[in-house]
Amino acid sequence: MTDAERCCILLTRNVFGVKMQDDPRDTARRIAALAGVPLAEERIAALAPMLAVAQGAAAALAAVDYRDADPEAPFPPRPKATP
Amino acid sequence: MTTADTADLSISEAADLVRKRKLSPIELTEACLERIAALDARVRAFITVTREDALASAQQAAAAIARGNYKGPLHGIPIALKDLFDTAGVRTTAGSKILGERVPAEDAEATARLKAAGAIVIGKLNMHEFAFGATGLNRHYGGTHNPWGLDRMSGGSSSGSGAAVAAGMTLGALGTDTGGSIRIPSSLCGVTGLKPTYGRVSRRGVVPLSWSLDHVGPLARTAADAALILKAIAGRDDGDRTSSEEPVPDYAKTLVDSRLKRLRIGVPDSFFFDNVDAECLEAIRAALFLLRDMKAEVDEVSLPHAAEASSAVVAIMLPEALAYHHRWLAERPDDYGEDVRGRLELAALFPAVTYVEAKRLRTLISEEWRTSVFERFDLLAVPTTPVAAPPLDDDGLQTTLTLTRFTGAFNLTGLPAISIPCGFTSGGLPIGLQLVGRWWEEATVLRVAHAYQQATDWHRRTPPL
Repeated sequence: MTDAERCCILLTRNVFGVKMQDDPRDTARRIAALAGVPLAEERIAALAPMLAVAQGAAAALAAVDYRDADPEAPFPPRPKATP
Repeated sequence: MTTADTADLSISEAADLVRKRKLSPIELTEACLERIAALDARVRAFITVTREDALASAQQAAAAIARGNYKGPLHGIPIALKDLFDTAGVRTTAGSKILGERVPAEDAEATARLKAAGAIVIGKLNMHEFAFGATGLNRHYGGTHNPWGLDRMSGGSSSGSGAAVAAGMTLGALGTDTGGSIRIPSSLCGVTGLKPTYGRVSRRGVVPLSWSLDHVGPLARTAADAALILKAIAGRDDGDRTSSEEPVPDYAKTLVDSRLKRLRIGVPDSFFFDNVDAECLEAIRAALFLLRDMKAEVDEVSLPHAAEASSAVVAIMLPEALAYHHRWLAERPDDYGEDVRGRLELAALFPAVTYVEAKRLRTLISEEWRTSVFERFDLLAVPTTPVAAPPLDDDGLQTTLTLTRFTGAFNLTGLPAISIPCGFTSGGLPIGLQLVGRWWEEATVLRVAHAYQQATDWHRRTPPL
């Protein structure tokens, strides 16, 4: 993984982890702005309750033991060679 | 044969008549066009009907066949395309206002391969806007109504593809499948839909939703018909770096062997049978009993991380969709339907670490299932959807999450999966059985689906329109 990728992951984990505990509207506004999606207040109001969807997916995936799984492993697996 | 009978033929049946010159491609195309004219105001399966082009192509096909230049089983057969497959000179909207006036200069690779096989493109099919939803409802072109109950949704995102095949407006269709978008409308509309292995079919010239999860595949009345379409469109395309060089079998020939003896079918012991509607569950169980009666070995299997797979699909699909739509979302947000706009905004809330973890999960599951599941079993059998077609106005994110619950895992893993009709609810709505094979083994999936359809008649029933 490159330094830029590590930095991006650390930054978003930090924003996500800390700000989730605060006002959901503020959290949604800040994270969306970080992603380059500035939103008007009425859109933020509609989006804030959906934080739970992102939180749920993040929590489910954070709980997995990935061992040494490589996100860029060749995909899909090739068929077994015929003897 | 009446016009109505003609429109209800399978591709295999029609191809046999066309080859023997007992049925003209012109007659066949006119029968589909008549069916579209009679029904589509109620069903809304099409965004664009290419009537004149189709009739011209049918005349060319008829002339070529009369000269003895028969190309094969798709020659002279009407096929319709989900409206995100580029068609040279024909508007390709992706079900959106944003691309509402877009006219591509070139055909998508799959479009070109179908035409090269002699198929007649009769139109562009309705779909969920930008394929970003599983209900098939569309603010710009109207929602697609289910031919089995016009107050019900067809499912999506390949909504028009499922509805048009079910209603006999076309003999086959192409769709795309990112979280279930071929198999869901197939299940809800009572037709056969195949999502091949990731990379089996080129996606060049197809408007993307999520590069890591998008698949192209056929919808048709039978597995045999799906095999014919897949053979025509599958194979390496240098214009799509994800397309595979794996050899493409002659799928139709592999259907001949209908023996299921020693075939091992795994039935997951959890997740895929949780919270399933009772009538759907009963139909799936009956299908499994029949497969066992046909000498297949049916046994329980544990699928590690199946539940997390749904989260991974969402965590990959949403950010990739946002990456594609980022500029339009900033510049033309009001041109999106509210549901799609809301999903794109939701995508902004997904952290990069979750995206990378989802990609890691794909690697992890693929390795675990390859060894712990597919070394013991040839196929998996699960419901396609946990419910039959919901009411047309039931269009929330929750409905899309429900409809994709049992399909998304096979987009994440890229495994080939087919949905075939296996029964009806007491209200007359179709129920779908999903069969999932090893990577690159579409032939096994199609063979078992075909054998099941030789023993049942669910796929032969037509909606009461």
